[in-house]
Amino acid sequence: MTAGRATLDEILTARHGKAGEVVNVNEPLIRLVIFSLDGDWFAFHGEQIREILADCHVFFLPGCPPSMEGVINVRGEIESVIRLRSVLRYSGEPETTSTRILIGQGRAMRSGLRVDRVEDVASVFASRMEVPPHNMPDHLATIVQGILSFGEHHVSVLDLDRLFDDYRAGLR
Amino acid sequence: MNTAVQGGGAGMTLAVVRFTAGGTRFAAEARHVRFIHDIPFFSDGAGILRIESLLGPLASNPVRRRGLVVETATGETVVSVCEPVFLDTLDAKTIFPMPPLIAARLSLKGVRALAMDESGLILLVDLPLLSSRRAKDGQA
Repeated sequence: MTAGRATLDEILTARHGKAGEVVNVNEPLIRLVIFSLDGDWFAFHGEQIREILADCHVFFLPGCPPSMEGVINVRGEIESVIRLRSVLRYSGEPETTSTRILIGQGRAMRSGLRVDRVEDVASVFASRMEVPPHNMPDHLATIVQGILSFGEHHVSVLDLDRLFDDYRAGLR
Repeated sequence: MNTAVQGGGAGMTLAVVRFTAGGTRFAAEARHVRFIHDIPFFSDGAGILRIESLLGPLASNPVRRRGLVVETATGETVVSVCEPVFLDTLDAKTIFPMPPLIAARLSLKGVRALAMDESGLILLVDLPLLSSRRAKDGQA
């Protein structure tokens, strides 16, 4: 665009910032349940999260690893609850009273997952998900499927099935 | 001991012997228990297996104990459990299979299912299996 006369397209393009950026309405969307642990943002695919529980009594079960909080009764079904903080190696207790339990449904199994805070449930374009960086810590590298920017945050999208498989195998 | 799952389909119940160990509530199918008898206070006596040693990592509380005479494939074994010990009936609706992640990671042995009543969780254990495992361990 030169000084002086311009086309409407040029003007609108300039006002949108990036020349030529076109939103493809046919691009696939992924639905994410976004949550945080100690201020770090993570997500599971929305279709793998059956529900989000705010307040639920967890029954302690002796003989389980510390990362296993116990079991809950969800409308007549018993679900295990694992502490995602422990699984992802965050120390201590969450500094919040807003913790939630996500009921995650994998291919072969289901479990509750305690998170510090649910930040959002959102649909984003699949193309926004990028390959995780190579310098990611080992305990995350195997379960992070991708990274995306969401507002001011970087969100690590987790592979729920891999997480469950690793946990069942005692690797977490 | 006269037991079993009573009724059919909806409304089924399971006859159990309830007991505690390490402060946790347990139950075992009553059909596997021939007798419940008194054993000396704080003592197991010869040939009596402590439930804590069968289950695994559970604290052994200094509480009154009773002996369950358990039928196994090879005979009978006496298992010492903690009071309160009593016969009970669990509604089948309150009994659940072990969630897979717990089944995989639970270090207690012989736990086959969970039951949940109004007062909390009960762990359903397979006493004949635990007793025979222990017997095999003893022979090895």
